[in-house]
Amino acid sequence: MSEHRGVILVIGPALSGATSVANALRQRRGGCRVVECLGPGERPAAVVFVVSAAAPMTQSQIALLDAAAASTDAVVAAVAKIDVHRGWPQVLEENRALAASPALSWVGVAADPHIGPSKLEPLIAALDSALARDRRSPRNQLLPNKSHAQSRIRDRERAVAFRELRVARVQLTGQARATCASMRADLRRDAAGLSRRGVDEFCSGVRRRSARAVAELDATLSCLVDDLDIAGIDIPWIDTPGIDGAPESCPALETYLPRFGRVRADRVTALLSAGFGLGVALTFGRLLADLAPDWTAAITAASLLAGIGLSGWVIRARGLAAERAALDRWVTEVTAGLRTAMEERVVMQVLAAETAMAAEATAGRNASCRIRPGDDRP
Amino acid sequence: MPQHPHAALLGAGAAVLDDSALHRLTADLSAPVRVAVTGRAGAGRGMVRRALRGAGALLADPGEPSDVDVYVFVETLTSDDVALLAGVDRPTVAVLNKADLTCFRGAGPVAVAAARCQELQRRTGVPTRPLAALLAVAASRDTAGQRSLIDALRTVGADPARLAPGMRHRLLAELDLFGTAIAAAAVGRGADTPALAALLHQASGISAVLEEIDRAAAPIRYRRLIGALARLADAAVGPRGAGVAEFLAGDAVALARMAAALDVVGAAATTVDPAGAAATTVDPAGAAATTVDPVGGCATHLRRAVRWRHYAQGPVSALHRRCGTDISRGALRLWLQAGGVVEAMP
Repeated sequence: MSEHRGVILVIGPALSGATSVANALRQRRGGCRVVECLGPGERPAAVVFVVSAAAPMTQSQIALLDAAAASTDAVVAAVAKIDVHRGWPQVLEENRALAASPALSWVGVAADPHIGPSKLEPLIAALDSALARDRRSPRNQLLPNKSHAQSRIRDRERAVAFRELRVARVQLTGQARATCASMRADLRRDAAGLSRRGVDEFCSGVRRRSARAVAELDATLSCLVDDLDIAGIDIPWIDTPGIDGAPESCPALETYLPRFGRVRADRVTALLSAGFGLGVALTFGRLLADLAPDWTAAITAASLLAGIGLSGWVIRARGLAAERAALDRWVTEVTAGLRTAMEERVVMQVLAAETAMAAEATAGRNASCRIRPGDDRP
Repeated sequence: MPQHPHAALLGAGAAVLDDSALHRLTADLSAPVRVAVTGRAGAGRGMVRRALRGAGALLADPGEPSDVDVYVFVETLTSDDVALLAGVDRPTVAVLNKADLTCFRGAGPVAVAAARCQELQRRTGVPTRPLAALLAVAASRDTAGQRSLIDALRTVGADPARLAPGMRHRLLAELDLFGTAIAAAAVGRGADTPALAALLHQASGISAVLEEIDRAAAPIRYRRLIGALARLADAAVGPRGAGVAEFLAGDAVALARMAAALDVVGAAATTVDPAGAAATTVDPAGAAATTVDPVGGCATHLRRAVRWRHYAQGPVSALHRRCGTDISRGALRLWLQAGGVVEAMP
């Protein structure tokens, strides 16, 4: 740190006369190192901000002054070229009013005069008093270091957050896929053993489970966003319409049940079942009639009844099988839709987070760039 | 301007148009270009306004729409200035004011400022000229004011110590250092009031700024001409419209459109390439050749027409496409006048 004590940074916008002031200071103050651009990691003991007396400062020049004043407390602002611009006292007063810090000391200098003698004494006096004040106060020893360290920590945090975000994206996508796969296996097994009465309950169960899966994913995502928010990045929460309550993502069950082809299929089933019942009744009736010829009338009636009952059972069984097959298809479709929606949700939220972080990083870099002198030099 | 730039057009129009239409056409074509002065605070916008008014430019009142903007800055363009200049939607001329204070070494302040302006123009693409508004205002002062100035300047040249403090302040306020120096030198050489005014006018660079404003207004003049002719088209129908229709299709209109269009493309080429290559790159046949040149001009006009037709078909803006078409049409008229014969394609 001791070698940095003597560095005086002279900065100013293009053509403001900063180079002349730096040269003049270099001649007058042999003990200090006067630079126009800091080396990496270097910290100035004092900053001389030079602006031309031709006109009051513009917004970009005010920003440059703010950036210069942020790195140290010992800042002296100089209005240069006062040998040529006769109106420099007004410009100086206007600059003093424009600058954010009213305590900043302003002086007029003519470092490399085209007319008359050079005028540097006020600047040197102001610089000396600023350096003396700086030495007395311990605050500015820490401030720049702290801000540098903070910015370094922020950079590291940002890099870690980026990596975490990538990992989270892979994990969450995998989790969504696994949830959907296990859900599909469960539901298909359930659907295979379903009775006719349980269809409605099964359907609402499917909807409930998918809503729960989405809610779990949202909870995980909001945890992730909260973590990043703690790191100081404001991330917008993306509400993807359509998968909040999950029912919208479930295709309607009716589209999978064979309603339209039902009539013809039912007729065919009824015909085949009736044939089957009739055949069974005839076969059994003839066999029993041969064994007990006395009971022919009763046997015929009984076999007919048995045949009709058998036909009814076959029709019911056939209908249930068709319904289960339809439910199976529906479950596959619902879980596939849910998987897509969940993956999309993950990708959207991670993308929003990445965008917010990139924007924040860019803003931070711009702010730190501003301190470099010659910002708007040609 | 000694003669109305559209004198030929108005002359041809006088024969066919009724009084009110001719009056409106004249008013449309000779409407002045309104200039608005904007720029950096403290850069001397008020003084530039006075200088432009003194030099004969028409300034737009506050709140009134302007045709051309003058952006005043000092020393160099800051990033704020560059951002503002990048976003302008009107023809704009940037003016480096206080050019007389740029540098008192080497080639002198105005030369240094001019070189800097060229560099800035190359960077921004906005025509940029140096100006010492103070000197321009001093040059446009009335004779009585000049005479008292000359007396003071004589004293400066002979014995500066004898100069009254009030007079010294006045000299500094009205001419500043550079102006006092050159004016005192000129008065010492025996310059009189008009010579002093001419010297200050020349040193201020106001004429270059006015030229640049004129050049920047070329698209506006072209659009005004096109608009005025389009309004005349309403009168070209009906039983009495045959004469007007003939006038609109005639050579005078085609050549006037060609001249205005040449101004537009010439101004654009000069801004892009300030080295003065405009005359050769834009139109090798000579930008001002809107008159009939009977000797050997025939082939030149045809070449020119073909060249501008190609230009209009190239990747240019809508305005330049129209300009290219107008120049091509005008060149064909000149070609016909010079004796060109239309042949059928074999």
